[in-house]
Amino acid sequence: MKSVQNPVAYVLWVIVGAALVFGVVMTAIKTAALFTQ
Amino acid sequence: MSILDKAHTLAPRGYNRWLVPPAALAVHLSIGQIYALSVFKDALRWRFGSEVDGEWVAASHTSIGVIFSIGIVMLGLSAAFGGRWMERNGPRKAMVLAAICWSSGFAIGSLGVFSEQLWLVYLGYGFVGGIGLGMGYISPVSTLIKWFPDRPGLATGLAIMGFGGGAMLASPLSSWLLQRFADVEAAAASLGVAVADVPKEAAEATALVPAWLTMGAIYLVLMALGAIVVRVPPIGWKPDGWTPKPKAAKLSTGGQVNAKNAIKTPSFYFLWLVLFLNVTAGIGILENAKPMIQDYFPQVTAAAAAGFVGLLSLANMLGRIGWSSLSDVIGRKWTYVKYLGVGAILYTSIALFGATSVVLFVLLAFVIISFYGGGFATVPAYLKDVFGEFEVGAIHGRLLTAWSAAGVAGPLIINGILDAMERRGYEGAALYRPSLYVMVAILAVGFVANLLVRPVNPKYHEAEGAVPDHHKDDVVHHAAVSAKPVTAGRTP
Repeated sequence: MKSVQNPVAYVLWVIVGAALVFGVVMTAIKTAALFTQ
Repeated sequence: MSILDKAHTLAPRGYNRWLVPPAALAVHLSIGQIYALSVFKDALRWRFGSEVDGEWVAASHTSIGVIFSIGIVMLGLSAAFGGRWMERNGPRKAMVLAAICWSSGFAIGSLGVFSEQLWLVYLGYGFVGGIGLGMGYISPVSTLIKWFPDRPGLATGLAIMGFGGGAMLASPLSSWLLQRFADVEAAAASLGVAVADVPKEAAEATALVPAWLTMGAIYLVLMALGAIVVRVPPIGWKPDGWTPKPKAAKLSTGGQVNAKNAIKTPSFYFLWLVLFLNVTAGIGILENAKPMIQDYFPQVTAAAAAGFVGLLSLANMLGRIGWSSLSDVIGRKWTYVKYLGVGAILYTSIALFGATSVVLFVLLAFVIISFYGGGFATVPAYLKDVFGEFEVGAIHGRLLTAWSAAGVAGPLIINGILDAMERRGYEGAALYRPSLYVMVAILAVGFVANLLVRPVNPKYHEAEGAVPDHHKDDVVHHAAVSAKPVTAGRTP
């Protein structure tokens, strides 16, 4: 069966995905200070 | 017909179910900002301070902390009272309502900050924003459960994982906005001091209004995108090749229970207790994360302690998706045995050995908070096992009053013990030991409550083939658009 798509949903996946990656990277950078002092 | 109506959110045949989770993530990443409200705390305390003997004295911690408490209480109440409304009107209308309330909360709160009226901040961010929190929180849960009947734990984990991670985004965003909009010269002029002598919180207080208005606008757009994207599956939809087992879970009798009957059963109250106690214990760490790690390890700087808080936010999020997904394999009751039983062991470990190593302390706290997040994410799937998916959204809404209660009781218990210990002269790790042991006792009670959850007495079951009130319109709509039976969509 052909899959029905929704372009806005793909855009939203990209937005929330980028936001999550940004959050994880920022957290990792801040957390590094815990173990490097 | 309004585009917000439930019938307009009905997915066409063959709709890819993996296009629905970003809607949940968009909403939950937005409302999860409340966990990062503490970033604004010092600026708010300064803004609502008062002049005493010619000196500006910041407002009390309690008066500002009330903003968070009102928000959490309203989350539980609006989820409890709005659950059935949401089921009847569909997730899109609930998400739009949530977006309007949440962003209005920031706008009204900004007005309160601008006019120096703290009650307006309580009303805006706390009360109105809190309604947005509750409606946004429950809006995607039952929808995703229906899209993933084969993996309800994964579904509920996907639905609310964003709430745990919201602070991870909001924290750096809030800090950046406070810096970007801070008007040091205006603060210096109002204080009558040189620019170099302006306290950080005084400068940040000038940035509160534009920062909140910006955040309100960002969240409005993000949540609106979620509302546009969300889709509900056709009635009776199931993944290709998947056949429901007659009794999918040991706790299930295979029957369906409506929300009114669910609250007449002992299992509902045992589950309420389980959630209440798991959340109360988690707040014990979350509430004091920053001062706690600095008291345990005085060499930890403020910046590193802030990193620890961010790491706990990540643990909260990963616990939601990870442990909840695992519950599909090991079962819901065993998952809570782990949260509460292993959790009690971890709390004991952090009390006894946490001070020996930063790595050990961080590791223990990480797992504890992942259990806290997992407890939130697994409970809707637990409810589905016990009561069926008939009105699981509304039942979940009612159960969330446990969160409201824990949001008030948890900090009261923890801070009360900490204050008493401080008065007796305790410091460092010793300061926290009694409250950690209280948490162990709390988890032990929750452990027993979880074991007492039983399948529901069949007298509470709906009649075979019954359709919930909120689905009756859908049935009519289905009949109108197609005479063919609904078949499965694509299931990657």
